[in-house]
Amino acid sequence: MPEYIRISYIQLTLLLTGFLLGSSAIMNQSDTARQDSWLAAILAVIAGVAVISMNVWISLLNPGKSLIGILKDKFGNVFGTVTAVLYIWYFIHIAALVTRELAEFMVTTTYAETPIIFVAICMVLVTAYLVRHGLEVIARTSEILIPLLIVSVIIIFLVMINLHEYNIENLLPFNERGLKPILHSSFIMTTFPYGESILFTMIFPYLYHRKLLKASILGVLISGLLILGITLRDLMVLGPDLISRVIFPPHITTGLIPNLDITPLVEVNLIIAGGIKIAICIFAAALGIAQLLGEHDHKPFVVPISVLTVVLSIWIFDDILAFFYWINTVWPYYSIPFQFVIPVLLLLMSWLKTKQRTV
Amino acid sequence: MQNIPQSLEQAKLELKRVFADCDDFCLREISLGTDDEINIMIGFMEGLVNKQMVNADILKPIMIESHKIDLKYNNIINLLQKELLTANQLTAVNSFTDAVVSILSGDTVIFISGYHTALKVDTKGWEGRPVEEPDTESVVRGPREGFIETLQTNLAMIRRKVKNPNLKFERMKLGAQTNTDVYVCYIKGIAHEGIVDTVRKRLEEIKIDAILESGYIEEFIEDAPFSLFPTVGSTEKPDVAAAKLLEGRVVILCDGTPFALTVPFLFIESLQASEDYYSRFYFASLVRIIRTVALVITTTLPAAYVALISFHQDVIPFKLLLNIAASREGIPFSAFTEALFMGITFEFLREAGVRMPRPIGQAVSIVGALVLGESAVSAGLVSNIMVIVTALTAICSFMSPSLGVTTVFLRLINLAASNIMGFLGLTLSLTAFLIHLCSLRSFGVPYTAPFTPLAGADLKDTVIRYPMWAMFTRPRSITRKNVDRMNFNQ
Repeated sequence: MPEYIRISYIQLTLLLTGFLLGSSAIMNQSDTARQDSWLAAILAVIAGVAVISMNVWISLLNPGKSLIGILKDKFGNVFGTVTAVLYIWYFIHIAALVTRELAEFMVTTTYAETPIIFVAICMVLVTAYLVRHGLEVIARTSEILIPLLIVSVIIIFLVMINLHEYNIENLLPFNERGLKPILHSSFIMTTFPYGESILFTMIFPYLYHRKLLKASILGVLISGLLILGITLRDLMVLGPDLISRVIFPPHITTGLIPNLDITPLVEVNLIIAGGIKIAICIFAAALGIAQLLGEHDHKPFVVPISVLTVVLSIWIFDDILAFFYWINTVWPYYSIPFQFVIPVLLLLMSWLKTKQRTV
Repeated sequence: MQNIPQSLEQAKLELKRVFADCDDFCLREISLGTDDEINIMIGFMEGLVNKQMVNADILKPIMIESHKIDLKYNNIINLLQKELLTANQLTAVNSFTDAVVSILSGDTVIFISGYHTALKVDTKGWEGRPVEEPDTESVVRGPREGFIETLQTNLAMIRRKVKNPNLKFERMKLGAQTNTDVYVCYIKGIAHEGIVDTVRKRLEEIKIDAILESGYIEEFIEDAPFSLFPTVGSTEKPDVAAAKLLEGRVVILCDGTPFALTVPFLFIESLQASEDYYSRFYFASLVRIIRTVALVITTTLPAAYVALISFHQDVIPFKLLLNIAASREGIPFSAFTEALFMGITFEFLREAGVRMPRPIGQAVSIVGALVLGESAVSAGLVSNIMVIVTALTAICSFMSPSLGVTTVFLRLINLAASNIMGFLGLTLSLTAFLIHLCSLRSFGVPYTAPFTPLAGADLKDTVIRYPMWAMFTRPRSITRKNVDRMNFNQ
């Protein structure tokens, strides 16, 4: 672990906020709960706080070690390496999903005639440039960009209030179809994005351990609040029927600002968080490979992983509808081992070991 | 190291050999006392010395005043040093090379027969420019004096602002051929020692034959030589240099140029001007905001215009769209070509304005304003709106002079990016520049400080300037020692 790279707690909070907001600023994935999806968002935040606490706890019990090191430590060399490789694949997969989502967003909303691979290449090019500079620069860039994103989300929210676009009746009737769809929706939202924060166990070793938990939970809460705000805004402005029919509700919502069509400007702002998310995923994957091979430098792996990300993002789905179907049906179950099973095992094993040592 | 020969004849021969064909070298042989037993020789360069000083403080005491005192001293050096010579600065030199270098820097060297030691008298005095108001950093309110080409005067100007023995001037000689004096200035107890050490080390590592301007040094000590952004600052004003010193920065003064270098140089400094601190804070903050907006406009306006015209017409309000369409009617080029054409024309005009003699200036401005502005529109080469965009861009580009030509590069790259991808391209290129800025460091200090890494109290002196009484700490991103500006106990 390079000792000289350190990031601050504000930077961690903003990185986590950007990472979790990543795709939620442009899409609204919880349509199974219909008008109750705001409740699902709240439940998901609570689950998210639990998940991030677990991930921080794993890191705290294994000081100075990243996920790869912990896996090798706890599962032994062979099985640990296998799970580490699986995790690296998982990180690249997340990067590809987000790339595809952002590229689809741009192509669907603004650049109708541009080939999607061109948009994806352009975005990943800038991201790869960012990742090559290392974690410090990723953190500094997000320290400037993420506040901008938060401000633009809040501005859209406030502009809508000012224009009397909100219709509270869109939230009624409350709890129409029982608790089950709400729970299902909040489960999906927990796996995407909150559960993905397992990836931050690659980054936690770069911080001093004192306030790690506080900073991480703050990041989850900020992003949870913003996601709740976005969900409520879209629900009240568009209504659950329209939301279930459109692909990118935030795009439609910003388009409703009268007299001024600023959607392209807003949209490029909204993809920033997604860019940060891709960068963190590629960084984690590159760092993971470097640590697995015993290299000190993650740089040589950045470009190959970026190329893989672009190709994968184009190759995995035929179109955006397949993407959404997959995200809502397969992804949550595919994520369970990565986000819950292995982390819980790690936590138990680390906890038992410390307990043995103290006793 | 060669010693100074004991015999005057030999010393003369050596000097004649070293200064062969240097006809501005003067050598004068005189003798001390009434009986011509002690021979003395003085050497100096004509034009580098103050002749009155040589006559009154060296020649007169040796040739005339010495008659009045008892010469039965054992040591002539002591006699000269302590009783005879009335010059204010006098040092003994033992090495012949040192003596030669001293003569070349304007000192007068006194050789005495029978001694291995010579005396060096500081008689520097050459014609120089008077202290004037610098053209590059003119102010409405604030001191108007600027540095000049003479190093000693510049040092004195800084010393006059900061009357403090902790203000250190460390001398170095750089350039194998030019032997240029370079001073590293810092305030001990405020400047970060690591930064001062880095400056010293980087200066010592410079291997070059000539240093003619501080720009030579700048290119050698930069952190990121290939970056578009400057990581070393320069100033022409002693009050600015003093302020930078008091913020914990290091100033490098170079002989022969009015431009002093300041390190570490952060991005935010390109938006700061000395006058911000001399006028009231409301006004200063307003000017800072205007400068920030101007920087954004000059780098992105043509690109945003091209993106709007070529990709996002639906964003433009309908009536304005009609006007733009009317003014672009009949123009055969794309918005990108227009923007490129006008942008390059403006750079031509600017460069011509800087290089040509003053009296021709009017001709260029007439040609520029009338022919390229008015006639290009009526000839159907560019649209009215494009002329406005270019003019606004040009005016705004003058508001952050220290970034200089960087803004031109940013503008062109942004223009190209937005021509390819509209607002997405513009965002991506701006993000790439932001990433680059975040990756830069200047002498160990992150270039984007105090925004990131966030240094709370330092934000008081960024886009808005807090009142003087509210800025009670020095910038923590630069120095962590003695940060309290208003605690007089230490």
